[in-house]
Amino acid sequence: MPPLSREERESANRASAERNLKLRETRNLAREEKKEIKERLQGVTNTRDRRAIKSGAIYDLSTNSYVAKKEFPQTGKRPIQDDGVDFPSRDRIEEEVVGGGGGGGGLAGIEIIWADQSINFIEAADLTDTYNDEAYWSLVLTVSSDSFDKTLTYDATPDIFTTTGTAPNEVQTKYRLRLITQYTNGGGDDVSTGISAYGQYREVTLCVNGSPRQSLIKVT
Amino acid sequence: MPTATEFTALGASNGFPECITKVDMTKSEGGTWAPPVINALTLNQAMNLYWNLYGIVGTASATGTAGTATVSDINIPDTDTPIKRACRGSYFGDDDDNAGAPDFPDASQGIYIDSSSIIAMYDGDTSVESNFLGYSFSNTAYSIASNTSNAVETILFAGSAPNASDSDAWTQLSSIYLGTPPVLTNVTFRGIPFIIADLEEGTTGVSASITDIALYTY
Repeated sequence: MPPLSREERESANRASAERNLKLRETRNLAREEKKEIKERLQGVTNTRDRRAIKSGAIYDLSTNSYVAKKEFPQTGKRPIQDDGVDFPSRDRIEEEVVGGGGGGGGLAGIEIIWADQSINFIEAADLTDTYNDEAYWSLVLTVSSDSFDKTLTYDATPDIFTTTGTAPNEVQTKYRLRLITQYTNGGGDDVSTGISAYGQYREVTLCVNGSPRQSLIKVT
Repeated sequence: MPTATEFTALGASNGFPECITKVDMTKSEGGTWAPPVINALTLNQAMNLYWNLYGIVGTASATGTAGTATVSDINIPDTDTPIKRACRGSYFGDDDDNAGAPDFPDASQGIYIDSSSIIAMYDGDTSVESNFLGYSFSNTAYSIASNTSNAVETILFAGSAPNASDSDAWTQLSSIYLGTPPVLTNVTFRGIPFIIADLEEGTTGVSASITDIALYTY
């Protein structure tokens, strides 16, 4: 490579200095915001409010000059952090501001419009709060007398519906909205991955072989 | 029982292919109207009936000078499968046998299912959900036999039937009604509640029955 002329070196140095200055300004802004968020968090004692503060902030942006790439152990499974649109990682979920992706309708979470037209919103962070690397993870809605009773839990059961009794007179007791699913990739490995789940859902009654199944259908 | 292909249908998001009309069952329709007899279906039962009804079990038989006419166990055509019923419509099957001259003894049966005939029944104001009674399809099947001077008819109702004293309704519904009130009986076929109406204008040489229904299985 031929040596740079004096003018070229000065020009390159100037451009480098300008880039560094901008980077420094960005880091300073982020540092200030983190400091402010920390101060606000110190005054809040419950987890829900803390999440609310964190979800609207650039909380996890590194202000160090260099962040080492996190290496994951070679287990044959792709880490969930590398998969999906909505669930790149739990840390990232907390910093999503205009979250969702994949048709989330601008929601950083799941909004459910019940049959009686009332509405529940589930924050993104709550969806994986108790998730512990299970192969499947679902939001579980309890069904009572052919409608959702608005009880929300989570579990690792892959079944979409849970029923009692025998067809065609079985009674549905649960519906699961899958958040994390598992499939076998081209290499034959079982892979768990987040599903693009953010958005608005509406309670509907599906017909499955002539039997009712209370379900959620994505609106946006 | 025939086997159907498994399916999932969104329909009108209510378990049926279209919106279901709400009806105040206490509201008089004038004339000879009297409170109907109700044996309501749950959502599960109503969906099972609409999507999976295949046929009826029973016989209509009429004997006369010309011989005997007989029809039994009719069904909705095999082409009207459950999944096809996602495209709202009416599905009908019938059969008729006539022994011919000189006195033409006749036997016939029919079965009928239509998403637009399903109603949600309310005991009063239809805007108050606590008044909801269940679902009704009204008349779903019939079995009739007649000869020169005798006739019997059995009509199968799902959910509700006109009051036995409502002569206007029975004149419209029955082929043989001449003023004798029908005998109404609650029965359960395949876990689904029905009301059977038995009408007769003489029983010599004629019989008609519906003893069960046939549903698609999976």
